[in-house]
Amino acid sequence: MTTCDGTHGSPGSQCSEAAAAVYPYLDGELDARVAERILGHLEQCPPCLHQYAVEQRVKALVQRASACHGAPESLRVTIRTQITSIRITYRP
Amino acid sequence: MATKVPAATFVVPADLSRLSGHAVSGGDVHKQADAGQGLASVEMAPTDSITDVETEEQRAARFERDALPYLDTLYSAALRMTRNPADAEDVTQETYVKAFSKFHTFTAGTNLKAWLFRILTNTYINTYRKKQREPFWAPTDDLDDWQMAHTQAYSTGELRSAEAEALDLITDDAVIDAMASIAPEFRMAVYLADVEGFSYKEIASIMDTPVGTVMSRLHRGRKLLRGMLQVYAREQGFDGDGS
Repeated sequence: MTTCDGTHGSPGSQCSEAAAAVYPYLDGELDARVAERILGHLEQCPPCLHQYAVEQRVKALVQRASACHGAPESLRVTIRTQITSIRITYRP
Repeated sequence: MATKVPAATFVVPADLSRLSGHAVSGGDVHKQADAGQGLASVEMAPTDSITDVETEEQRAARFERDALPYLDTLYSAALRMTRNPADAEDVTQETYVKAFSKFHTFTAGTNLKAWLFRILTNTYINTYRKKQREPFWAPTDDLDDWQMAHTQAYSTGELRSAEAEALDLITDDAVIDAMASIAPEFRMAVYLADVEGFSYKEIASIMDTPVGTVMSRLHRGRKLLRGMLQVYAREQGFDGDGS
């Protein structure tokens, strides 16, 4: 694997900007202009692209492993009951 | 709020368009001065006109109608945080009781889900701390360090693409174990971002921290997770002989 310009990761390089922006990029927190610039860099820099791919996979793994679990019906009943009892307790 | 995308649909690294799938909206996160602004919706804001005029019965009905539908979502989060169904039930129940007691302070029409998550997060973190015998390890949240760590991480070499692909073969249980082993503040930040798709601003409000702290927690949490999962993949021999 080669670096884009021989300065991969060095301060001030495009790689450095890409590195600092990886999470905001993947989280959709960058404005479109900056994201576009990052994307342009990734197209030309395999090491940065690879790093983005790894981070994207980790994010996807967390999503996959955290599928929604339905709460037990008994919990729903308990909460409803508690809310009712609070209303009665605090009624003026 | 980012759209949740199933893990299985991602085929990286070649597909650039998918990599950029989330990078569409949201402000520039580097505008730190904005942190904490515009978040009043999730704060315990003063009462508004609706809560002034409604009766207790009406408020209770509104709570049941609006807040109870988040039960599965909140329970799932609590289960991921506590890893224990009994503890998850306790945290969820306590969250709802607190939320109902404070519901008159919630501004109708604002972000109820984030407001509930804020109460859940407080409840969970407080419960967790009470159970810890040792002093709680408080992570230092420092943006300079965040940036430095980034630069270092990217300068220390390249990973083989096979290793990236090997991550896909990791089981959900291994991911859950890895999540459980990181500090609760990191775990919660990662969960709120990756699973619930909250924006950094929303997470900052939920966790009652500046946006910079959210970014720091996400960075540190994800870095720890990535490290553990890569080690796991290597140990399982998922990366084979590369390609």
